[in-house]
Amino acid sequence: MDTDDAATLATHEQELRRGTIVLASLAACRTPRYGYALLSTLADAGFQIEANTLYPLLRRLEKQGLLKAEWNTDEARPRKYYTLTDLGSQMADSLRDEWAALTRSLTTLWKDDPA
Amino acid sequence: MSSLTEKYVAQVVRRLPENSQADIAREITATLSDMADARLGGDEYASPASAEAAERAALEELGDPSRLALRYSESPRYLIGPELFPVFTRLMAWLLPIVAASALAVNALVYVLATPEPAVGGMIGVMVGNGVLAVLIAIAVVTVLLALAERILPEKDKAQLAAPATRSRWSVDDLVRERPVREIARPEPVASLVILAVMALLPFLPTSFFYVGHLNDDGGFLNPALWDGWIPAYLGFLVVFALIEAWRLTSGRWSTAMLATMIVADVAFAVFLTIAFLSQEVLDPALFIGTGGEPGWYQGAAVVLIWAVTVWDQVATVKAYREARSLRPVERR
Repeated sequence: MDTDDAATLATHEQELRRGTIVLASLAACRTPRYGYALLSTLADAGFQIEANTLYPLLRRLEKQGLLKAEWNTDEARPRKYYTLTDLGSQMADSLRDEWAALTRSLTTLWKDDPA
Repeated sequence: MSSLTEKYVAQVVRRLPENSQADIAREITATLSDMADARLGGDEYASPASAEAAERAALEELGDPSRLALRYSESPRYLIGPELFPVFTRLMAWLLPIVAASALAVNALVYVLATPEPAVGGMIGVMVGNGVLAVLIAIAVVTVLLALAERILPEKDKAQLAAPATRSRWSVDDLVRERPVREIARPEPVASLVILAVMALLPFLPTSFFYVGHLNDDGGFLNPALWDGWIPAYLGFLVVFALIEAWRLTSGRWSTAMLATMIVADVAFAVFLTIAFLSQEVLDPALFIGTGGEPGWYQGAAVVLIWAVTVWDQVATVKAYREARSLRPVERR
């Protein structure tokens, strides 16, 4: 695979991952988490997402009402905690179903049509 | 919080809307501290040097503050998005030829009317200079307006704006309604009309227009004696040709009647010009005084040229007619 092909592959992989990040973030916020903890949780689970992508995304999800954000000033360092809202929870379920359906379809396709 | 983090945060938030600045500043600051701490591995008594290194690494991971600010602000990171792009290309395709043509025409007219002694070089200069400017301005205006629409309009208005260009509600019936493909592309008769307009101007152009005004005191190129019949007849021919081109423009399809009319008109015009050149002094005789040349030398050359052009023109016309005919779908019985 030459460098052009590698770049093409990288683009496709990025497209594939892009859609999963929202679902992963919603799933991770079922328990309240602040930005950096969320980043670590996602990284530990195998989602390589950059900090400068995650934080703006969290804010967008908050605006859409899928996450609720609260400042916790009890600790020495004030942190903004994100929690899944009811709406966010419903949407996460729908997205998860969609994801499962896609996986099933892809599995079927792979089985039916051995290359 | 060190001055580096402070500067970084300030650079991010100054690009963001005021009501979100404080909140985002706090969050990024906390995040940077978390990121730096994670790098120090919980070492509470780290040396100032390693603390600074950790802070720098955290800042570098977040990257260019202007890019981070762009990700926070939800304004699109492109000038014109895919939704409005078809509108852009449509507008350009329609607008630019119209702007270019009208700029050329208006500038030619203004130049001729406003200049005491108009000449071809000055006219072309004014036309091209202002024409290029007009086209560039048109491009700029369309681009700016659409870029603004991209940022101001809500999604559904954008879709509505794009609908005529993208035919979002396309149905198979559109194929039925679609007019048959033109056999005669529009630019062809339009170009002919422009050439006819230039030919019609010929008797009225002063010789000074081509820098030879001194030859006959700014008279015309044609013999003034021809105004008693020959020049009006010439103009009459041009009117007939213009009507034929208008017919071609509106119909868009070849017909045998059209082909026959065109050939008859062309040959008749060639015969008329031949008689004119052989029986009259077509060019103003005054042009040849002082040059020592015989006024008649050009007449034979003109006749040869006329028939060469006419024959070539007929060949091209018949060929275009046959080609269009051969492309027609075979009619079902």
